[in-house]
Amino acid sequence: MKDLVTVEDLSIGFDLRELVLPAVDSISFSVGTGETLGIVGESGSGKSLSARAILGLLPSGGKTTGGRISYQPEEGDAITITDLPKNGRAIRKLRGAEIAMIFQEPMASLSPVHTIGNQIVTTLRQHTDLNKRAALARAIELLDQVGMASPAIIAEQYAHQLSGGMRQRAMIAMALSCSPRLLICDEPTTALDATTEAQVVDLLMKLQQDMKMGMIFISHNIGLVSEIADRVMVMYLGQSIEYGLAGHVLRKPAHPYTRALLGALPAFAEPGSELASLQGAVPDLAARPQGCTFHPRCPEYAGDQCKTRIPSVHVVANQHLARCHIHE
Amino acid sequence: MTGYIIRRILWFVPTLLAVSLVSFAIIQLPPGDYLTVLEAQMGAEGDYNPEVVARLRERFGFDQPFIVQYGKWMWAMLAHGDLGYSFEWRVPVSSLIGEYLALTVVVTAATLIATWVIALPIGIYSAVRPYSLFDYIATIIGFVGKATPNFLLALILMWWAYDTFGADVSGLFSPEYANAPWSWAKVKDLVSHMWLPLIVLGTSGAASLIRQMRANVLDELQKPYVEAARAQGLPEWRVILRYPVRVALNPFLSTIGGSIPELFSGAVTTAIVLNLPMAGPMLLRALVSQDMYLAGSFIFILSVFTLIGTLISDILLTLVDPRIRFEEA
Repeated sequence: MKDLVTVEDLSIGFDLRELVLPAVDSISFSVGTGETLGIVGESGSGKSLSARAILGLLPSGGKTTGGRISYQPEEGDAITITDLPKNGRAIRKLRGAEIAMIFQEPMASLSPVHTIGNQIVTTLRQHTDLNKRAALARAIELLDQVGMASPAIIAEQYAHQLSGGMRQRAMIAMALSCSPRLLICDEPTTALDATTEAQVVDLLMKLQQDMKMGMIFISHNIGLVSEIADRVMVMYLGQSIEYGLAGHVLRKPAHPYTRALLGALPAFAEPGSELASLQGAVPDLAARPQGCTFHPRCPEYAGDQCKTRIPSVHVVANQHLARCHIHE
Repeated sequence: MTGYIIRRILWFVPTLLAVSLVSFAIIQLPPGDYLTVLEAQMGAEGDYNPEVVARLRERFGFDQPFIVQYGKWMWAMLAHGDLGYSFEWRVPVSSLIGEYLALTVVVTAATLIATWVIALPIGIYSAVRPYSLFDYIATIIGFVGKATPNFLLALILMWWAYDTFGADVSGLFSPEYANAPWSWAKVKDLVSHMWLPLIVLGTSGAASLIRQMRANVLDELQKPYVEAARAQGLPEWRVILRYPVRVALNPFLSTIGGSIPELFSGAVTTAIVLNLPMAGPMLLRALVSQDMYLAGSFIFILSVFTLIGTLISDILLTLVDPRIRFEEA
C-alpha cells in the first residue's frame, strides 16, 4: 500500500509571545490509499490540530514547531506540506482538490448566505475547468451520490433549510466534489443524532470504497472508530499514546488510557461487570503533568517512574506502539 | 414579495397621517403663532397695525381650532398637491422647498456613497490585519474623526482653505451661479463645491462605519464556515470577500433607512456653518418663526423618505441574506 500522507515527529505549538505552548508533541502516522486512520482522543488532545496541519490550516497563533508532513501526489515527487507558505498557491492547489475536509458542525461550516449548489460549484470551479452549467450539473450529481432525495431542489436551498443529516451530506458532497485522494473527517457525526450518525458513517465508508480514498476519521468515540478504522491512533494531551492496527489496539489495548476508554463501552466490557469510568479530567495544556502526562488519572499507576520520567514508545506487537512504562 | 411590498406601501398611509398630525401639533405647541412673531416684528419696526393682523388671522385660519387647520392643510395637500403657504417667505411652500430638497438629496446621497466606498474597505482591511500598523492608523483616524464635532471640522477646514487658497469655500455654488438657472456649468460648479461638505458630513459617519465593519468582519472571521472555505482551496482574498464580508454587510443594509433622516437633521449645524442651501437650516428657521406649513411640509416629506428608506433596507436585506424572509401572513 502506498502512503498518501506521512507525518513524522510533528509538533505544534501556540505562540504566546513569552513562550510557545506545546499542543501536539512529536506524533507520527501515515495513511495509505483506501485506508482509514482513526484518531481518538478527548477534547484538547490535539487530534483536530494534527489533522488541520495536513491542510496547513492551523488556527492563528498555531505553528509547526518540529517534524514534517509529506504528501505523495498521484504523479511526481512527494510534497513537503510543512515547507509550503501559509495560504500560498501550492497548498491551495491541494486543499479541496487532493485533500478535503469535513467539519464537525455542518450548520456552522456551510455558508449561511449561499445555496448548497453555489458552494459546491465554487469548489469545482476553483479546481477544474468546468463552466458554470457543467459545474452545477456535477453538483447535482454529487448531491444525488450522497443520497439526497431531490438533488436539484437541494442545490437551490440554503443550509438553514436543511436538517442536520442533510447538511452533513451536503458538506460531504462539497468535500468530494473534486474527487480528493484523502478525506479528513473531523468529528463528522458529533452534532448528529444516533440514527443519522449511522447513516452518515455508512455513506462515508461506501464513498471511500467507491473512490478509493484515504481517510482520517477523528472522533472522541472509540467505539465508532473501531467500526470503521484500519489503524487507530489514540491521543492524550498532544501525544500519541497508542498506535496500531485497529484489531490489535481494540482487542489488546496496550496503554492504560485506551483500556480505560474501552472499559467504559458496553460492547467491550466483561458481561455482567460494571462499566468503568475514568477519574478526573484532561489537565490544561499549560499545566501539563511531569513525567507521563496521564499519571494523575492512570488506573494502573506504576510508581514514581510515572511521575518523574517521560515514558518512551515501545513496540508491543507487530505495528503496535504504546507509550507507557509498563512495557519496559 | 410583491404582495408584501404593496402591503407595506399601504401601511405608509396611516403612518404618514399619524406622523403629520403629531408633527403639526408639536409645531403649534409653543404659545402664539406666526402672527405673534409678525406682531413683534411690526412693533419693533413701529408700523404695528392691528387691523392687518386681524385680517391675516382670518385669512390663514388662525382663529379656527387646531384640528380644522390641520384638516384644511391635509385636504389641500392630498387634493391639490398644495403644501400651503410660507408666511415668512410669502410664497407657496411647494415653490420654495423643491430645490432645497433636491440639493439635500444630492449632498446626502453623495455623502452616504462616499462614506461607504471609503470606510468599508478600510474596515475590512483592519479586520483582516488586526493590530497592524494600518489598523492602528485607521483606528486613530476613526476615533479622532468620530470625536470631532462636524461644525468644528467645518470651521477648521474653511479657515485652512481660506488661509491656503485665499478662497471662501462655503456654500454649494460660486456667487455667479447661486441664482442662475440650471446649466452644465452650474452642475460643474456644484460638484467642485461638494468636497468640503462631503468631508465634513462624511468623516464621523465613515469613522464609526470603519469601527463597526472591523468588528463585524472580525466576528465573522472566527466562524467555522470561513475555515471550511479555506479548506476548499479558495484564495484568501476570495474567502474573505465571499463569506465574512458578505455576512458582515447585513447590519449596514438595515441602517440605510435610519441614516436618511439622520443625515437630514444631523446636517443642520454643518449646513448653517458652511452656508449650504439644504433642508436642515430652512426647517430650523421655519420652526423658530412658527412658519407652520413650511415646517410641517418638511417633516412630512422627511417622513416619506424615511419610510421609503426603511422599505428599501428591508428589501435589500432579504436579497442579501436568505435567512431573512418576508412574513407571508
